[in-house]
Amino acid sequence: MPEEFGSKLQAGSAAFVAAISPPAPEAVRRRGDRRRRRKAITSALLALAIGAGGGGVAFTGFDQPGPVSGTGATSAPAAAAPDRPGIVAVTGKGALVVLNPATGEATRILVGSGVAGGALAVSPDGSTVYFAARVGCRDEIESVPVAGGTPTEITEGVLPSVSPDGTELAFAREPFSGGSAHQVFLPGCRQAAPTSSGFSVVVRDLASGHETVYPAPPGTDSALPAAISRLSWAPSGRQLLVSAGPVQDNEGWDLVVMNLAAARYYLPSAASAGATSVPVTAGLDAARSYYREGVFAPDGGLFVDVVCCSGVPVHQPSSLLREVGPAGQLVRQVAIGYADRDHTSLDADPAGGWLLYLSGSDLFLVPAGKAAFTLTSGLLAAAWL
Amino acid sequence: MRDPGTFDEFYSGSVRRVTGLLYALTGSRAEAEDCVQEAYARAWQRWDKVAEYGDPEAWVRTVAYRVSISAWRKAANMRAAHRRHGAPEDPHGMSPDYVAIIAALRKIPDRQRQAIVLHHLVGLSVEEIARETGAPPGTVKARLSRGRQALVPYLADTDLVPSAITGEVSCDA
Repeated sequence: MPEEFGSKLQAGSAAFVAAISPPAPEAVRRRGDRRRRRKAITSALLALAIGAGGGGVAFTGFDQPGPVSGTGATSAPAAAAPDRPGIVAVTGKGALVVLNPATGEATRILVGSGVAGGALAVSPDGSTVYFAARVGCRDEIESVPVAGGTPTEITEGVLPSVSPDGTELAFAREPFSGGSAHQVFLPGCRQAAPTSSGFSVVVRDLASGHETVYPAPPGTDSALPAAISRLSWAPSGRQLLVSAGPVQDNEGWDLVVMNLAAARYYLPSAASAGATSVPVTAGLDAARSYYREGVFAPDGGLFVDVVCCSGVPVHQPSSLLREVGPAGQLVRQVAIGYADRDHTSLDADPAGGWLLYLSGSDLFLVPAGKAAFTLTSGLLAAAWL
Repeated sequence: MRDPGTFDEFYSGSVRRVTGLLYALTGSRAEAEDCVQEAYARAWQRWDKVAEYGDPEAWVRTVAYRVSISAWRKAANMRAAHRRHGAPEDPHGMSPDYVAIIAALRKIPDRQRQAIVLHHLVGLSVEEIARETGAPPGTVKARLSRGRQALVPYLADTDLVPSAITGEVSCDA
């Protein structure tokens, strides 16, 4: 954004705030005190209702700076902890850590800072974590041993996803030559404008470094990038699930299954078979709903976040975490997400029993067939070890 | 124990900034003032905790924004504002550029507008916006990029068209 836009916005805002007369702080405190009294009364009534057998949803307070909408999840920990060695996560300050899956406490710091959110990938043997890091004006993919050690640069890109046999790495490259799609916002970075033709999915052989590039199909080239928001390998290792963001005006969200042997592009195209959109099939607003993100589960099904509705003006009344079949058929509803949050970092544990996802920056775990619960908060990405 | 003195100092020092932010986000002075007062009232309600946060103003910004996006609240505010002030306010006295910017911001999606305003008005970095909004940095960057794209047609008649989408640009923001 040019400096003039920002400076005129700031100058206009300064003139605006100079003309307003906020109420005295005493008046605001009185208003807060009235709210406090109402809350006390409401809490007492709620306690009575629960004591009488009503209400199964945990009461977390009405005035948390949390979401304004409801959820099927609770904040109470589950009785059983997942049988996993840990969860890797990126903290809000950009550190890569290992969390205790039972308590959410960080047990080990793998990388102290500079790790980008978005996605983490763990090798099938659980020994290596792949992540994206910002280095100068570049986003690059690096790896670090879970046991600890120095990160190793692999290549330029974001959103790593490692194949089930651990030999290949899928990731996204963004539209700027030599760096991230959005580095125009980074201090000191000077780059050309984006074009959607610059987006690509890359599959890299980790041993040889050979790369197969799947660009956007012809005809999608414009100044409006078709962003990639998540990649996930099928258990067979022959397909890749691509979560694609909106091209413009909150339209164009897509969840695409790429058959790696047949596909030439990462989005469906008349010019090439091998990339197929997963339809949204369940729900009253299925036609207007879209997949915000999806990943493969170990059984070949999909763990997805279904959001309604696409289009502008943005109206998002629902965000539903679901397990669906490869053709989009509903298997079960996992949780009702917060309508005003992004749900990202969806992941199924390799044994298939537990799910995890981020709701905003809150990490939720989902035991098999049970309700989701919050494990911890303040994260940018997470994945099962 | 809630200390009125520290709250009053915090309120007096930040309320205008937060109101300016909410005005840019909502385009309505009455709605902005209502949401901001509600957020500060909630802050006072739990001031013993909020006062210990590293950035209480970020807490208030977040709460005020969330209050503003409640549909119920919007409808109620509109009715209340109409009772208090009559029709929507006349932007008399504001610069034409600022009026054009606010009008353009109202036409782009909420989350893009939030990212644009936090970045260009409040001066937060991508990482800070990510922390404040609970979105991954990549999502924030996408919202900034798309928000900028979305503003272009609405600022076409001004000299404020973001040039970054049509050519090279130096971004030291």
